[in-house]
Amino acid sequence: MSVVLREVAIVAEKQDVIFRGTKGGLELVLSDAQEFGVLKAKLKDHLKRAEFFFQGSDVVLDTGEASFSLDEILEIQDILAYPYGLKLKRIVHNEDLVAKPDRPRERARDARKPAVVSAPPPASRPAVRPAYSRPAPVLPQTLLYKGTVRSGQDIDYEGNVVIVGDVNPGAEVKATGDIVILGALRGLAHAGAGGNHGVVVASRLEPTQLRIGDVIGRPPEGGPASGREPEVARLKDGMIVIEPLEGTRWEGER
Amino acid sequence: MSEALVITSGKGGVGKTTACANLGVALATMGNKVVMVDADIGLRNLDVVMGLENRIVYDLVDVVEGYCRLRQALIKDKRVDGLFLLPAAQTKDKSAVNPDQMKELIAGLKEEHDFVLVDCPAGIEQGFRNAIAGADRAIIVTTPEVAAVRDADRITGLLEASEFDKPELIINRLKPRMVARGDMMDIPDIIDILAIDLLGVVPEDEYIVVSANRGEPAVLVDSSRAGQAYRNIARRIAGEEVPFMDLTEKETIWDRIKRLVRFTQGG
Repeated sequence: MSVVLREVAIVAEKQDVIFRGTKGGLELVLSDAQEFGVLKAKLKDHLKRAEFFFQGSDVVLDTGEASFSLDEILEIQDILAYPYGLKLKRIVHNEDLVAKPDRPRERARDARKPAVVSAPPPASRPAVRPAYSRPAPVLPQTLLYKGTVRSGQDIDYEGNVVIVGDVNPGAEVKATGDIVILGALRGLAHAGAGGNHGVVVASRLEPTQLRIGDVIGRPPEGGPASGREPEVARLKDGMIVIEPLEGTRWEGER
Repeated sequence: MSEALVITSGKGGVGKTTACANLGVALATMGNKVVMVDADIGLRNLDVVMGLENRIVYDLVDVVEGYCRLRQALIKDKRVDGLFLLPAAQTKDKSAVNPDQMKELIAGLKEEHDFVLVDCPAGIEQGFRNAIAGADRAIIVTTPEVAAVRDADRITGLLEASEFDKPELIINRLKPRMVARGDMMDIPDIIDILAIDLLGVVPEDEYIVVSANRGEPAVLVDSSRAGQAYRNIARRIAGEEVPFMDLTEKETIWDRIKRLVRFTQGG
């Protein structure tokens, strides 16, 4: 649960401890000019007064210019957690904002205790459906995806797609550019979507169906599975042609 | 007159998709124009069992959302004339479609086909409600297991509440020898609980696994006992009176030896 309180600031005396409601949850700003012991007391006092108002929220701690030791941060975390159930999600440090977003993690590395400091959840996999929010690229962008694309998952990208892993039957990979699969392609790949050129390269090309531009191809019924060598599929005279990658001549491609 | 039938079960893994594929093929080989609709959006299988997966270009959701015309999404079967498949979408989920859209879709399919078979997903949630939406008749598939029969009973109740007055039952994967030994629920036990009409009994047949892997429904193979059972069921669906198969199996010498050995060990 996160409390959303836009533009509402609950200000403590002298502004040593400030809670601010933001879109992402609560922001806790601790003055860099005050002593830690005083800050602690003020924070406790503050929480006591607000008590159930904040309960269960996620907190982003903004330390400004001050640098807290790991133990101090752990103490703040404890104060927030018991008994108010506030979760310290992230720590923002002025320097971090400028240059080194990963700085707190580095700090944690030397510490004895494990990294409770600044734990932005590790960016998991790249978004399977990337948003097309960027302005139209001059050069095609390339999405690198690591992992198996499983049945029912689809990757749809404006640009090229490189997959390090397999594409299983029932999965779809669609790109306006080329598709390169370092693994087995057993599902559907659609290169050159919306256009009329593009190639599909796979370590093992055993697709359910291949599409390039608006041409659709499927492997012959009961035909032998593809060889165990990397192959490339591309358009020639309006037909999808599959050849071994080795020895492929690329002239005439973009 | 055309009819839309939904094949449902509640429980997963009892053979809805296999039943749908086999009945579709059997009805089409009898000269009917048949379309099978895979309503299991997000977990489609019927295309795989039919061996038509690589021909899919458009799917049910594309039709409903107006990306293509109904006829463009229909895949013609590669072996049997007059048989078509409307595949489910794999990258969407059940909420991509609502019951009203399904009603309209099924009504459209009924205009040009004698039978519309809807392969229902497991469960009783939206997928189920979508699948039954446009159907005139419901066929419930169960296996002779307590859990499957329990779910079939639940489904029967839900179907009756949705004004399907006479759901019919297929008992799948019956092992006559286990029934004879008293180790498996018998047909009368199941009918007793569900109190609905029996459309047919399909014996356990290893060939079903082979046929699913090959994408070639068992009804196409004369020697398959399950295939024979499905051919009979298809004739009953079309309104013929077909006597029930004799499912008792003759004991082979080898079975007899095994039984004796087990008997002496047990004794």
